[in-house]
Amino acid sequence: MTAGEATAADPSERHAPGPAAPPPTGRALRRLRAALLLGGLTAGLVVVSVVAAGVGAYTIPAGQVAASMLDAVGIRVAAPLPDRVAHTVLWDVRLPRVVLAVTVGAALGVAGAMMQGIFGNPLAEPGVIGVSSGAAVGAIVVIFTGATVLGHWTIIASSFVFGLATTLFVYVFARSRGRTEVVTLLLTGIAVNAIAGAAIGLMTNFSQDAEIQTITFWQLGSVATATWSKVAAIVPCLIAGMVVIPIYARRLDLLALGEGPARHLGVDVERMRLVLITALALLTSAAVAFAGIVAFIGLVVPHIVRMVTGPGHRVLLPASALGGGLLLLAADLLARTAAAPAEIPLGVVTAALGGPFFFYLLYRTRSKQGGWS
Amino acid sequence: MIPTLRRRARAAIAPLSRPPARPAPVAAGDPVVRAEGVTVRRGGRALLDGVDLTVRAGELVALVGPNGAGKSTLLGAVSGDLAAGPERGADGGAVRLFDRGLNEWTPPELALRRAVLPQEAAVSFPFSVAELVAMGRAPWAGLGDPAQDDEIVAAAMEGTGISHLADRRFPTLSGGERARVMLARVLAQDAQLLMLDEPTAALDIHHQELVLTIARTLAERGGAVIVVLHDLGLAAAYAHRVAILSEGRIAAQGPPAEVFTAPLLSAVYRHEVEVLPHPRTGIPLVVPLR
Repeated sequence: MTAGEATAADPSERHAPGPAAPPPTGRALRRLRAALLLGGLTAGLVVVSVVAAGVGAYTIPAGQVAASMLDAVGIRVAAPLPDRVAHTVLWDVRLPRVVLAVTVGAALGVAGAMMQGIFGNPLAEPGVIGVSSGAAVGAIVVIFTGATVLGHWTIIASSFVFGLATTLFVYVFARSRGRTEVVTLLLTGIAVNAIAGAAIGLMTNFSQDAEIQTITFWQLGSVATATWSKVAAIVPCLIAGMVVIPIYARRLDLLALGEGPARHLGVDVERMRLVLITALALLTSAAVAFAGIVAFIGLVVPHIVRMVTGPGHRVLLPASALGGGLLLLAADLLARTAAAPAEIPLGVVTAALGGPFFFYLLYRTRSKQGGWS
Repeated sequence: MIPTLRRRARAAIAPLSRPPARPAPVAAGDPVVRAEGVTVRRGGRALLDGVDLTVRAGELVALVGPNGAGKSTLLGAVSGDLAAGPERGADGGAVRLFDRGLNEWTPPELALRRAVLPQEAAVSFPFSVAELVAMGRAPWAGLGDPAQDDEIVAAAMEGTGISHLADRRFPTLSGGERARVMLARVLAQDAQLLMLDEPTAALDIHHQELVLTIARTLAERGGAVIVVLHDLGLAAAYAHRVAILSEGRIAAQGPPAEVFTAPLLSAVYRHEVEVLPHPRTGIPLVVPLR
């Protein structure tokens, strides 16, 4: 018997013992992957939150963080609670920041996934197509003019109006025959970003020092000034933007076939477009209003999720929310610890991660289908 | 737990979303599509000029004619695409589906009754074949039994010969495979009225015959099928009736053996053709003079 025959006989032997379980079908496999992904992301989010809340200039052991958080919801554990100073640091400084980072990241992740679905275009992202800049112009106009018509809510309202207007403009401008061409969309983004950049530059030029600092904060992105009142303001926006997920996730799948076929399958495309664009403008604007321009979250996260579980929106949207929260939380942890005691702006960290990922996407698409046309 | 939550959520929004009325059975011979005087003008040119078309249950009607004669425009007008699309709707005439005006149907109601196969098959994201075909069942979500949905999807994939592709992603398929996936999706919609816009364009002979056999079978079982075709031989072999369009008007309509005549086709296509009966089957063969 030669070695060749021996190896040839091997596979049949391996199959022989026991009644083999039926091979998992594609759908069962996808469901398993989706469950693992959602579970894994949730677990990751909890773990990283606890770690991030402990790490910093005043280190609090993760066990104490967890004990204190459980204590807050009425569960007593054996682990020791943090002392008074640690408690203050944890609850007044770290946790608002952690929660704000997660909320902003979730909003951006889900907005990116929604935007890609509604544009039918895998490169649509609030930062890339200029919606974030548009919303930032809205925020900076308020800072520049010092308007306080709506109190605390002036900035978010103004950035929402500008963000919605920019989204609608890009949508109408870049779309033809129910689809957006990748090139047209990106070029529209370049133009919108240029105009927004000019407006921001102009206002920066005529600003006082204090205002310039605030404006720079908006352009580079940061969650450093988190407070519970900011968290309380953004969470309703996140919830309002995300309630549409269970209603429209399946219909977004149908939209991948094009507007005509989606309509033939019973989707009221016009209404869906209106609802989803409002939702994603709300999510993006809320994120920009409280954390400035944090680029690429909405591009990177949905792409990674699609690689794992496929493009179905019923998994993609919630997973993008969880993944966006996790990624932004990790990026913020990096931003404040990498060069401690100095802080790197959050937008710089996400751009440093997202830029190379964009290159990878370009490379992969080029080698697979010869690039985007 | 999740199914319970889902059921509760559905019950909570049920008063807001009245379920669409299920389609009533249609007796063979009843008119399913009735278009009268449909006129569509674009840029000062009449794409359709007073077209009348009736399609009855149990009938496969082929729309043929040269490029730009208005075949796809007519299909768009009776499917409602023209009225709903970004362009303006039809400029004149009326379309009734199942004895009700086209605009009186809501999109979900219409989706239970008519399915449309568009000319181009493009999908924005890399869905798997099984997922795409299952999208055809979307209009029936909440109306039927999910197990039955799975059966219908499996049957549609079996019928179009794509069962072995179930787990493949759409972008990895060949042109012919993509066309069959889209056809399977449309079949899975299980509608009484089927509109197919050039379903055979990307297919080889075997699959062309397969697709039209499926369409013909659906018609024989009481459905109504409108199909735009370029291949006059296929139209002659499978259609109960053909409508020959020429410059936005119907030049002739009737059984293929009656309307496929050499003088008419030569005039419509501006190319001399011969029409010969097939020596064995007697089906008219249309041969361009070469």
